Amino acid sequence: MTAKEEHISPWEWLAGALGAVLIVAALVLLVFEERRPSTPPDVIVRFDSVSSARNVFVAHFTAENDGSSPASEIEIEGTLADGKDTITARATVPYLPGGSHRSGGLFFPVDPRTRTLRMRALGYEAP
Amino acid sequence: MMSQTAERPETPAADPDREFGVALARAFGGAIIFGLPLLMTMEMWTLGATMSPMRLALFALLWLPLLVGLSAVAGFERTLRLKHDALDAFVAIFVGITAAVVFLSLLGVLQEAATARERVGMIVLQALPGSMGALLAVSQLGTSEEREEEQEKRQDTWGGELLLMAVGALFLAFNIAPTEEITLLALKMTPTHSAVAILVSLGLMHAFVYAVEFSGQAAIPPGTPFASVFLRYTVVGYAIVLVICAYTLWTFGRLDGLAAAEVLSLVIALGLPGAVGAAAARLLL
Repeated sequence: MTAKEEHISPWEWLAGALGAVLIVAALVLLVFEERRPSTPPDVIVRFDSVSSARNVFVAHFTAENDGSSPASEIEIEGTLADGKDTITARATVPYLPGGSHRSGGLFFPVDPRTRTLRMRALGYEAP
Repeated sequence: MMSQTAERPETPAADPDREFGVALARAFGGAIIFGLPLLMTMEMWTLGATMSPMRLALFALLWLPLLVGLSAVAGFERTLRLKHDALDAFVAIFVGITAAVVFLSLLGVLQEAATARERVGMIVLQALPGSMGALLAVSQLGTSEEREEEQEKRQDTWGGELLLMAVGALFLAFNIAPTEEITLLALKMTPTHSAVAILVSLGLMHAFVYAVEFSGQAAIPPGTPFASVFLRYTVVGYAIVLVICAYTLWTFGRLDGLAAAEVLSLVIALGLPGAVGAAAARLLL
C-alpha cells in the first residue's frame, strides 16, 4: 500500500480533502435548512426608481420573498392615484424562492413621481 | 467498416489535405450531434440574446483553454505539443460557429433577432457546445481500429482524468442549465431531497470509477485502497462538478437574487446530471 501511494502527489490528497470539506459543508447546511421552521411565501414589493423611456415611464421594483417557502407566478400590481382617477399596471414574476429577490418594472403612461404610487403582490401559485 | 479501412491509405505518406478534410467532416458531424439539442432549445435563443455580455464573453474565453486541454487529453493528433492542441481548439471553434450559423439560419431563429448584438450572442453561445462536439467527434467517430490505437497511446494522468470529468460535467450541465425545468426542480426539492441527491451523485460517480478501474485503462493501479480512490477521484470529481454547475448557472443568470440555500439546492439539482456526465466521460473518452 505504501509503495503504491508514494507515487501519489500530495496535491491529489489536498484536492481530495478540499472536496470532502465542500461536500460535508453542503450536507451540514442542508440539514440546518431542513430543521428550520417553514413559513409561507411572504412577498414584499419595494419601489426602486423611475426611468423615462422613449414611449413610457418605468417604475422599477424589487419583489422579495421573506418567507421560507417558494412561490411561482407572483402577480405584482402597481396603482397610480391622483384623487380622481387610477392607473393600474401589472407584472408577473415567474419564480421567487424563499429568501430571494427578483427585479422588474411596471409601465405607466404618466410620470409616477407626480402621483401616489402603490405596489403590492396580489398572489402566487405553489410551484 | 471494412471498406473504410481498405480505403484508408496504408502508406505513411498519406495526403495531409485529405486527412484534414476527413477530420473536418467528422468535426462538423460532432458539432451537429452535440449542438442540435441546444440549437432547438427555446431558452438558448433568448439567453444568447439577453444574457449579460460580460458573463458570456468570460465563459467563451474560459472555453478556449478547456478545448486546448481536451485536445491534449482526447484530441485527434496525439501530440502533447501546445501549438497543435491550440490549433485543434481554434479549428473546433470555427466548426462550432459555422454549424451554429447554418442551423440557426436554417431554423429561422437567427433572422428573428432584431439587433446584431442578439445575433452574435446567440451564435457565440451555441458555438460552444458545438465546438466541444467537433473536438470529441474527431477523436471518437473514427474507426474502431483508430480508437484502439489512440487509447493505447494515451497516458492517463490524474489531471487528465479530472479534465475529462470537467468536460463531461460541463456538457450535461450546459444542456440542462438553460431550461426552466431546472429552476422548477430546485424549488420542488426540499433540503432532504438535496442531501440525498448529493449521496446518490457520489454513489453514481464512484460506480463509474469502479467500472473504469476494471476496464484497465485508468491511472488507478489495481489494488489501490477504496478510501484513496474515493477521495482522489470521486470526491474531487464531484467537487469539480458542483463548481462547474455553479459557474454555468451563474453565467446564465440563474443564480441572481437567490438566497444561499436556494443556490445550493439549484447547484445540487444540476449536479446530478453533471455527475453522470463527468463519470461517463472518463469511461467513454
